[in-house]
Amino acid sequence: MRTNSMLWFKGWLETRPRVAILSCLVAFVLARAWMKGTDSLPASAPLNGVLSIIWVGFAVMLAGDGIRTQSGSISQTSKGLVGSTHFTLSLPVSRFMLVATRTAVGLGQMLVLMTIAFCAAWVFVPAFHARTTLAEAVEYGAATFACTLSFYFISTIASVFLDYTWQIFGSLIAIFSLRWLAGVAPPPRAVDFFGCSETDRH
Amino acid sequence: MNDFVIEANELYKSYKGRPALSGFDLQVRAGSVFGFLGRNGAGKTTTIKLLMGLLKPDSGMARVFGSPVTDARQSIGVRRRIGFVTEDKELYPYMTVEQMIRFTRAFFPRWRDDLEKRYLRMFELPLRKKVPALSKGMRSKLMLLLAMSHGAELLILDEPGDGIDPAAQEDILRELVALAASEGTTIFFSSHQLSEVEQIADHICIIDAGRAIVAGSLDDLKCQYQRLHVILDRELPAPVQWVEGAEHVHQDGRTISILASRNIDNLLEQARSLPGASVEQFPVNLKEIFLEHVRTN
Amino acid sequence: MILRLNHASGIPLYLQLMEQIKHAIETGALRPGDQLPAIRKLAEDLVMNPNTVVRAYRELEHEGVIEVKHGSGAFVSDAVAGRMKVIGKGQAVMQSAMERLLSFGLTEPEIRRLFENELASSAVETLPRRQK
Repeated sequence: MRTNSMLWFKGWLETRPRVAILSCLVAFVLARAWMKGTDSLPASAPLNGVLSIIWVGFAVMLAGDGIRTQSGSISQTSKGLVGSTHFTLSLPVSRFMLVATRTAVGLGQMLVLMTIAFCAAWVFVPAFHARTTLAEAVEYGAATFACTLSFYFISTIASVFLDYTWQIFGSLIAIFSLRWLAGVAPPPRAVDFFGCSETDRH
Repeated sequence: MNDFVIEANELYKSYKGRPALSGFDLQVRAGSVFGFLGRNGAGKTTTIKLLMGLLKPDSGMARVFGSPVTDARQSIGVRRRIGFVTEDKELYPYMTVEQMIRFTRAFFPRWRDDLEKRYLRMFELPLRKKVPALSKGMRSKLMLLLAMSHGAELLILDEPGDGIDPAAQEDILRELVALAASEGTTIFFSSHQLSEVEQIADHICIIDAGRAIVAGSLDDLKCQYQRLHVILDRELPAPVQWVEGAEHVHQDGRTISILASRNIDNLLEQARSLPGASVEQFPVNLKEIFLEHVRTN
Repeated sequence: MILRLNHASGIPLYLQLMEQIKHAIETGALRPGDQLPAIRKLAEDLVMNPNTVVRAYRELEHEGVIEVKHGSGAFVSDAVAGRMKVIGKGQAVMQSAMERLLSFGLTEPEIRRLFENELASSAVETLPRRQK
């Protein structure tokens, strides 16, 4: 359907700058790790530690803000909606499609970026390459993606209640609170989010 | 009843305790060019947002093409038949004019390529410029192009002339009239410019403090309202008690000016019966009718 | 047809249009049998509401000034010729009256005011008056 492809087009144009920033960030971190490239543990630890922040960053920045466009009653803005959302909502397309497409765009970008980041890490970061088998790396990547997914949805839900900037702060606060909680009262291994996105597992 | 493209009944809407609409009624017949007037903050944009489903009323009913504005299921089909121009004229800041047109076109299967080309040429819109680089007037024109090119049966325009110079305005009015004449498009537009309403509207509604205080055919209103000038040959000891219909009476020595809303014949008779009176009757234009109602409210 | 409408005068536009068409007929710009512009075209040319044009044409037809032939359009009625004779008589009266008034030394604005006052106080006028 033409309308769907147009919504994807819109989503892509909307998030282009964010994707660019995140790509640069990942490239920078990987390049730095590559340059430092020894196979000693300290080198790989900072990589993972910093990267976990980046995954959180992905989740928060790319998260769907499609839900916000239908706020009206929930959001605290008095007249309900801002800017071009009036135009968007006047189009003959369901709110569901708007939100779904926007969320899917963010998820797709996240998947692509993370896959590229992991592959690049595998190739360019000796510590990572040397110390992990391919299967473990894939498992690690998938787990990280799953965790980041949950952060993504935390951020998306935050967009329902909060304006754009507050959404970012709000979700970061939520995520880091969870992390602090995990440190204070460690959850079982199966749901150990921060365990799995933390340092290498050797 | 089924003739009405837009209907509203006892609409109420408040923001944080401040009332925006207090029992607003509206009826717009198919094929009419309907002017919606009111001061800033009177409730024009709130009404329009309600009709477009961007806001939910606190109570009351509003229907467009017969279906309630709160009915989410039918509203998609309804929106496909409406061309809309928002108050703030905001479009996507990351798209160019060309991309906005391409994007919008996908949602409307009855898009008219011929009208799109016509308006593009007429409005001189720069295809490759991004939306934020456009002036307010250019953005208004772009939104009008998007609203008028997709074969809509109903146009809902919130201050369409905003930021547009008089020459371009005349072009736009002509195109709106052409749509009304050839396609039978119903046009509902709010405006601060009484002159453009007076030029093309056949019906109007004046809203003040969230209520409709005047509504009806513009021609009928102009026949109903008359100004009477009475010149006496001497000053009277006491002010005249006029029969009903005399809305606004101004007496200055031997001259009396009356703005009358009805009962003209009886008022004329009463005026002529005054000692040494010479009476003249003048038509009243929309500005006078507007100011009369908005001031006394 | 050259028409000028005053949107802010307070006189309903359909009445103005009717008077302008009658004026065109009286001055010979339109003759019995001439075709009037199509409603759509007139509305676009004058940038006015098409319903207003419809109303003007309908009233003119009701008064017998024009005839609407289904499918072909609106035409100036032949019956107008009769009215034109009466108007011709009036014109003759006007001409001699003007000569006399001018010979008194009255200016054009004074003559106009005399005329309007006389109109106002004479037989009941059904149309809203033109603003001075």
